[in-house]
Amino acid sequence: MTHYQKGVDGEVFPMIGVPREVYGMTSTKRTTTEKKLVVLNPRGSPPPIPMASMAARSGSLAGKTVYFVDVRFMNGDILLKEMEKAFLKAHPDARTAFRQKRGGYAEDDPQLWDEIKANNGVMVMAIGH
Amino acid sequence: MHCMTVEKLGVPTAPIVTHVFRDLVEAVAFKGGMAKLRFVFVPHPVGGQPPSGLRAYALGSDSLTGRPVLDEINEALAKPLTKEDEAAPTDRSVPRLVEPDTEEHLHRLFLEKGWTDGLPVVLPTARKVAEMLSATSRRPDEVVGRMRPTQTQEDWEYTVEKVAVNAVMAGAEPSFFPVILALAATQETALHSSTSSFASMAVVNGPIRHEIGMNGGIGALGPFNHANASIGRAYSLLSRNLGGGAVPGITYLASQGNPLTYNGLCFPENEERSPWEPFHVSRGFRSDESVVSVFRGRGMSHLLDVRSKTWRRQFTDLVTGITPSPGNNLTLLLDPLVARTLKEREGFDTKARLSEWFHENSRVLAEVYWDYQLVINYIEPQARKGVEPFASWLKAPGDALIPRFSDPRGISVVVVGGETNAYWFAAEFAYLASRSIDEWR
Repeated sequence: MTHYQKGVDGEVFPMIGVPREVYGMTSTKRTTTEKKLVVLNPRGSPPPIPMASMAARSGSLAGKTVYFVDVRFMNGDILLKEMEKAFLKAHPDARTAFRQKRGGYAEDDPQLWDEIKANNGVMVMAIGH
Repeated sequence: MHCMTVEKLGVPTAPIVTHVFRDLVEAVAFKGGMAKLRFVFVPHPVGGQPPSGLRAYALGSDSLTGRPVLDEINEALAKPLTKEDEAAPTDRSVPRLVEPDTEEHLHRLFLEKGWTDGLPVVLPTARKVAEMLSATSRRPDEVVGRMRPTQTQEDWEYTVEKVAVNAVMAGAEPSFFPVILALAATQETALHSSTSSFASMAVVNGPIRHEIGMNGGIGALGPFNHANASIGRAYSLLSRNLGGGAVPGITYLASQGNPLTYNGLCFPENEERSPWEPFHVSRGFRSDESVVSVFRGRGMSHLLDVRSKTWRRQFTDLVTGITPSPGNNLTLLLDPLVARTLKEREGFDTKARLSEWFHENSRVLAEVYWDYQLVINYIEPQARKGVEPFASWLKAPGDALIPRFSDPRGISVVVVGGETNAYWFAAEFAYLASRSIDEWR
């Protein structure tokens, strides 16, 4: 259904493709005579979501090394060092380590992940700004 | 992303995120199959805060739960998983058709679903999409490519028909369709989800410019031509709908946004009035091929004329505000009057020589260079891995002058405009890719 609006010079012109509500106008009630259109969906195809499992937690951090890992976002290193200090104060027996991930923030660092796993570690990572 | 990688290795993680990125990180975790990843949220921002402020974050409460951050970290790392932490299968299939409805309601639906740029679109009826598809020899179900909003997000896949749907929505004529398919085939999004508010630029070269009536003359960068406007808009719409992008806070994070993203600076080079070879020829294509090239950047600075005494200083001053980036983010958009002056009076007989001039003469103090936050984020990691010339520059003393644009081959020159005056732009845009349009006819 095409809507019409009166222009400033009195001319009546069609509001092609514009829902009346967009301009704060009252919506036209739908009637059974209004033609229904079939249109195509413009969205692409997202990939399926993989079924992934998180790591098992043992119930305590006893015997673990807590790695604080920075990915180089602004001030992330300072925040993590403050967290590490506070964490050690709250857990004096804990073992901690600070690491800066290699490369840009999105770049993988398998060597660091292997180090953490080999040392029975867990990871606190600051991401975002 | 890294935390999911590490979790899969059997290492518990506690990702620390500022609360404004909650929607983003939860969406990324969901799409990665770890919807219950144990995030800990601190206040925003981290950047710009003094150490005392960040200490307060560490000792304070989780912005979401209100519980102490340290307790949340401890629980994230140690509390055993439950059945709720396991991933559940999700159907993400997209139906080919939208539920039939009236024109008015469909416009409302497209707007509310975020499938438009906020402006009215042409509804993609089967007839209009079929007309669009008639302008290419490619099959409707052929996969054109995959696109993602940013490196850390997922790829979406799209077919020729899906590109046609978005071309119809943008108001494009069928004759424009091969250009739009070539843009889709670059697999580079026009709506990059960087917090830095990128826009895109598409430059068309070759015979198709005239075949479809594009404007490379007066007002070429403005809203004065159907092909320029609707091809650029189609690139923006298809990036939104086919590239999984443009959901603010999740797949579009530009802090301020960029008005150029409405139709993304789409124009043809004014080859006929240029004294140099066309841009696509400099990228290895034949002059009789039709090609579209895409660029990414944020803004532009302008200058009038090539002053005979001081142009060197005026040129370097013009680009002094541009932050160095790995992509050599400089594209010169020269009116033909400027291009001819540079060639005939100043002796730049090729575009490449002009690019080399900017590379050689636009320099920055090393201590300033290495303190740009973008350089710290993206160039310093390369330097530390030994990538040249950055590795050598990292060893330079603080008072050394190093090129603002690392590679002259990355500085692009395009001639465009109608010669009403010798105004020109230094666009802070980096070249990304070129694709043949003829292959998509």
